[in-house]
Amino acid sequence: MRQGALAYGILALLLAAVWGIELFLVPWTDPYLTDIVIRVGINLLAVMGLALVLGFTGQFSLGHAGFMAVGAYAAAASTLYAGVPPVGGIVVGGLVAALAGFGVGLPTLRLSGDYLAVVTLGFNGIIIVLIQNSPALGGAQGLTGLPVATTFGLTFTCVVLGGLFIRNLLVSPLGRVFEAVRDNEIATRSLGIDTTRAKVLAFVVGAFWAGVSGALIAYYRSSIFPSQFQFDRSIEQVAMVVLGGTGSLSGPLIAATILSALPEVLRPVAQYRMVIYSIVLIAMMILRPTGLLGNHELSDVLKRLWQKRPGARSTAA
Amino acid sequence: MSATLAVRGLSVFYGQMQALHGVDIDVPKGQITALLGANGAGKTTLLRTISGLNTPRSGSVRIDETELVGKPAHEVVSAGISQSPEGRQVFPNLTVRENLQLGAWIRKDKDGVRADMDRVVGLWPRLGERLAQRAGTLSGGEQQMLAIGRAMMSRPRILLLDEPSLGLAPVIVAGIFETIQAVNQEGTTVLLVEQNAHLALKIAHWGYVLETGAIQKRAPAAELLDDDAIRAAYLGG
Amino acid sequence: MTLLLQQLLNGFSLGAIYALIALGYTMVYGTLQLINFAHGEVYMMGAFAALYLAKVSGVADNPTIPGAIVVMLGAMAFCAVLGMTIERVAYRPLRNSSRLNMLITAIGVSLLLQNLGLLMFGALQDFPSLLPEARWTVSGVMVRSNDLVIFGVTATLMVVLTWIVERTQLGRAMRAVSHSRDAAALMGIPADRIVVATFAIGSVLAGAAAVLVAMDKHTIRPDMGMTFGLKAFVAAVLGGIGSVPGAVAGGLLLGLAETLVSGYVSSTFRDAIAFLLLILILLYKPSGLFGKHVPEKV
Repeated sequence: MRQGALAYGILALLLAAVWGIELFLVPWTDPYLTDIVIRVGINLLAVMGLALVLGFTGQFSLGHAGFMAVGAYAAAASTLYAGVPPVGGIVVGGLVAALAGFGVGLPTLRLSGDYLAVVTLGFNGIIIVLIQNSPALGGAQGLTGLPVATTFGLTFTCVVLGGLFIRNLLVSPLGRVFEAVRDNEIATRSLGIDTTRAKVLAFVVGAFWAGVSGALIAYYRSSIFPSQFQFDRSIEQVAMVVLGGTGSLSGPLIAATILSALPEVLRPVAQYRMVIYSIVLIAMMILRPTGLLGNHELSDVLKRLWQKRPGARSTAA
Repeated sequence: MSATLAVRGLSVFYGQMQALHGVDIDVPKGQITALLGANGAGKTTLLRTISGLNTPRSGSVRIDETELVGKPAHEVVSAGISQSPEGRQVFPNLTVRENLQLGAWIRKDKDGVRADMDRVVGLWPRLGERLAQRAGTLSGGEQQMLAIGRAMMSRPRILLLDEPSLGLAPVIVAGIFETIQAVNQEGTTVLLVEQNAHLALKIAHWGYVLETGAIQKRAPAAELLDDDAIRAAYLGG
Repeated sequence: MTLLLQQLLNGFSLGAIYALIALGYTMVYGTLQLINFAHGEVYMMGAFAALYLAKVSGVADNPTIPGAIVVMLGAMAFCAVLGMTIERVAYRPLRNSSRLNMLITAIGVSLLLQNLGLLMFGALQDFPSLLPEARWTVSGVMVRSNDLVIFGVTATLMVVLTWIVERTQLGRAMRAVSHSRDAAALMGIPADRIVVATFAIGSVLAGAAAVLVAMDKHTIRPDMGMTFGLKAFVAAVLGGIGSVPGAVAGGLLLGLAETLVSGYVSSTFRDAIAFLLLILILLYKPSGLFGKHVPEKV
């Protein structure tokens, strides 16, 4: 079977499953559960972008929530001021966030990774300050009166599209370049590969899906607030990627699912959430720096369990 | 002031690649031992391992009766081994005086340190003229003098010198080798790594030939100078 | 004219504090090539330690110069111990792992301290006067005694630091380690101990800065180190990361830029200035004002 046809087949199958659930399951499901699932889906979109940037390309972005904010407010503004329907607004949100990613990434990604951490962190802060001081964007009180469009179906359509897009990017030759940049940037550059371009590309793609994720938030509860996109959200996403495995796509997605759902289950310890995240981050770096799945995918692990012998995929990085 | 260095069965790996294959070397007390070999033969790896910068997978390095394998690099200096590393590695932003002062890091006897600094300056008056200058502004030859002088400041019992002739004009190299010989005659044991085999063998008592991480030959230096195979391989005919 | 002079005075006062904190970032970066994100939280913890000391010792109720000195020295000592502990527990196990992992750990430590602070101390607390306060008007410019204390303490610490870095064997070793850990080890210098000393010195300066800010603002918060610390890091980059005079110049420059912008443009954009400056400097002079190398070491 041809690769292309297979990919479209998988896409069609997944989308059919998503809309099947939307049409036949969601109406009979407890709205509280649906709410949790949608919120998990929104986090998945942001985290898969960060997995590409941080996990696969090794670029420490600390302002992913800032790109979500850009996407959310771009989408909201396009709907409120230009009458763009939500589906178009989601695309607008993604594109504007990607543009912001390009603007932040281009000057910074030429330098060593440390500066990216500081600049993205600063970017996250600046975006919040700008929104809070912008009457057109509602200031600290936020924007209200948006149409409600973010359903299970729409969210997971985006998740499926984003997941397949990033997966295809990773198995393409470009995916090897990303990992080579992470593992040894200087050696990669000495092969004549433009590492800055690769890093900027990964960054822009990551920002795009963060923007889509933010746009979905905008159309979920008909209102958005700058406080939804603060720095702790960026940190949470870093924790999810690091925990799930740097160099894995399914690992961070599993971590994102668990960590997004966990606060619902563990309401009593909500105030310790950030303390726990930070301890987990430190312990993980010291004890198992590659995360739960390392650079494996869930399918590798399942395959190996099934076959009960090691070596499904080389661990040498 | 002096000591014997004995390397036994030293094997070093970089990841999967083996850089040294069970190397045995004796550096007799009070003498100069030359270690010859082509680029990439493992000479620098051997010196780094003796100094504790690389950890061997197996083997031992003893100064007199003290085992050095397992000691961190800074403790090897206290045990009496000092190295002038490949590429000189002077601290470019520190002055010449400060470089020499750091060479005496392990010592507490201020008067002795001052005397030794005078001794280094006596060997190389050009360093004396530039004590307040940043080491990065020195010429290559001066940096080499500083690197050796700095290594001498800890009053080592054994001095390791990695390619002191590298990239220097012949006149300057000749001067440096004369000084190495003088330092040795004052009683310091020397292990000299060189690509310039002819010069090294002329001042050395013993010579070793290292090829792809293994010792190929050990002989008195004079004998190696006359050895046809060595002449062909390292002395340019 | 009077307004300008007033802004300059305020800017130098703020800049002096940035400089004190920036020194900690720049020194640690010099030896470990690590952005010690937790440095801002060491500063924050220093403020709460000072509050505790001021209450316990009674200085809070009876402000005197010796009392203030005791509180400040106590906070500095506390910060030194905290900084060394962080290095030992969180950073040293990662000495040979990738810089990304060290950076993530640093963020983890920063968050941990900040959130522990939030749990232990609440959102904010009042900070008492440690010294009798006064203010004078000199040809229209208001000069506060706190400004003079800030200048005096900062200048003293700078002189001591410069003496340590330039004139002592420890300072030489710190410069040697930041050039090459291997070459320093060949001198017999134990790099790990030098790194610990670097953390201790940087943290001591942060502790002093914390007391100065707390005395001046009279409120302290668990998140006070976050933005403030980041800006101080930006100051270090402005001056050229790894450079001690650069950190001082960068700190003063940032302080002046912030006060001038909030005085003449708008105070809402005050927090954005630092990052705008950072992006500009990264674009046009990545090595910073005093830096010699492009800050790219792998």
